[in-house]
Amino acid sequence: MKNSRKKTTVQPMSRRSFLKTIGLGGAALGASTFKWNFKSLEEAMDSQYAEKTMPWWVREVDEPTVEVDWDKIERYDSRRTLFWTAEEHLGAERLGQMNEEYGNAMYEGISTKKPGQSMRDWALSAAGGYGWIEHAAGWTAEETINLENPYVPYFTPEEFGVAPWDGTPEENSKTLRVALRYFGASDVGFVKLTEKTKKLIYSVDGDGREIVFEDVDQGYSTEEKKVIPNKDLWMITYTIPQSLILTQNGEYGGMPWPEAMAYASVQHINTRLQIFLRGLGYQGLSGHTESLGPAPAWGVLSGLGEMARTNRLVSPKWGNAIRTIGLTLTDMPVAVTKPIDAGIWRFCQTCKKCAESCPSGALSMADEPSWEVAGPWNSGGIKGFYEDAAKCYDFLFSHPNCMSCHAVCPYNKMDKATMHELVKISIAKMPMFNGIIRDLDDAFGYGLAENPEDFWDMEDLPLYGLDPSRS
Amino acid sequence: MEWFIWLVFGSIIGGLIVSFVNYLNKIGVQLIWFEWLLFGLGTLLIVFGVETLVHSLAEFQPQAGWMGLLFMSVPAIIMFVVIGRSVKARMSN
Repeated sequence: MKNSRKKTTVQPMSRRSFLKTIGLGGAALGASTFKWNFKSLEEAMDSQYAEKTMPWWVREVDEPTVEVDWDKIERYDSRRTLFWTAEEHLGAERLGQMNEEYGNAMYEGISTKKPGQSMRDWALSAAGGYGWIEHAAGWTAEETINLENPYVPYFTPEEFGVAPWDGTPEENSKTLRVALRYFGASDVGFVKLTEKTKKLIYSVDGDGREIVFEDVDQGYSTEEKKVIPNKDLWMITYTIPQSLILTQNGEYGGMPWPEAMAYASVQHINTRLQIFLRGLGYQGLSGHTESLGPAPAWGVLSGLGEMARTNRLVSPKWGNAIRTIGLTLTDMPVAVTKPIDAGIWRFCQTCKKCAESCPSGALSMADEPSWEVAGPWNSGGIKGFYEDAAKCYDFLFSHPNCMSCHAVCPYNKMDKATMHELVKISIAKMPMFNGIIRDLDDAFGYGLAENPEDFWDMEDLPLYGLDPSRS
Repeated sequence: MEWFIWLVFGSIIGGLIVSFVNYLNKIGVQLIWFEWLLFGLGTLLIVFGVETLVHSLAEFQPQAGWMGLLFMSVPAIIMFVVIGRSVKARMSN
């Protein structure tokens, strides 16, 4: 391992820009504003300069683009989300009807071979979703893994009598980013846990266990509580890609449930990250899909994307073709990442394509964001577009599947055609063209595929159904 | 492999441009600056249109590909027509 190095004072810069700078501006280097603080090229390439993973047109900012009032934010009891309070908001009778409607639609699709809902579609859905619940990550690595597994060398540095891995925060961030990319996460960010950001840790998990802070060194859990140690901690955030191809092949988006496969995937990534941290001598507190806090909030704070009209995160690189944001608390010191401004939040205010396409009418069509939440299922604290989760839930669980808002977002594009990059640059730098971009997105036919059956003709389906060039 | 296809495509475009310039010299036509500008922009739009088509098909988005080609080739054709008319008007004077 390399020795820790002194921090540099120059502004972050991408590897590409760096190479361009040394390649094109060597003679002018001394006179330029670029301040050379490195002893060698290797040192420069290993520095924080090599860390930035967002395109050049994405600006790092001190505060998220969505307005946040931290005084209005309190630790949220996750049992208030609609998944735990559906009966309260929709009534037991309606839940029964929904169940029947869903079953009837499923039967009809299977028995009539309805495109997108035939037997093979449902079979693929079920197979892709395997592991979502079965392999849910535990609070700590030890809760999930089988330490007696004879084929995998689970270990801790303690077992060898050696100290934990001691990289600099920048090196640790880079290490974790590489590991998470290997595990299947698309982007990675880091947020320091402070008195302010602690408000974004749920007070109670969906499983009913209280999440508490205690003066202990190691996090642990019991049947009643999950314990976070009172010490320096960082939240590792990572986006989980969802197949855009599968998302766009369905009546309402999402023919064979790509979100279920992405949710299953995050369980593995969470656990693998815990095991990785354990092997380096650090803690990784995590859990099932959304056990630590509101995922979009953490994603926005760590610069994985911006808040959007869906009241979810949209990434500059992946749009909202990301199912969720994995969260893991660690005591491994890391370099934090800042919120970003790619013009997404501003674009969402006029685009409204997701809300227009929402068959349940759950998404806000308002022209301006608001501080008023739509219901107790919203944790509040941002001036945003709050969704009527009851309407969404009602439709989602009485119809074969719906991911319309994910399927139609103009940000959801693959990355082959140069045009997409130009459009994103325009949104970031020239907002006056936002209206035209939305119109052209419609004219170019982006959104839901016309025939879901086409999916089964894709013999060259990219790996995991992701982008051909990014999977 | 994709780089090879674009190399071939670039060679064809380059060859066509060289042939076009040779042809103009042969018939004794000299383009003036704005005609060269329109020619350059038009060629760029055609190249960009073809790139959009090819990559949109690879993204399983045929409508976007053809629309992209249409949106970019129509202005390009208009530019080429303007060049032709401009040259014709100059030659007839």
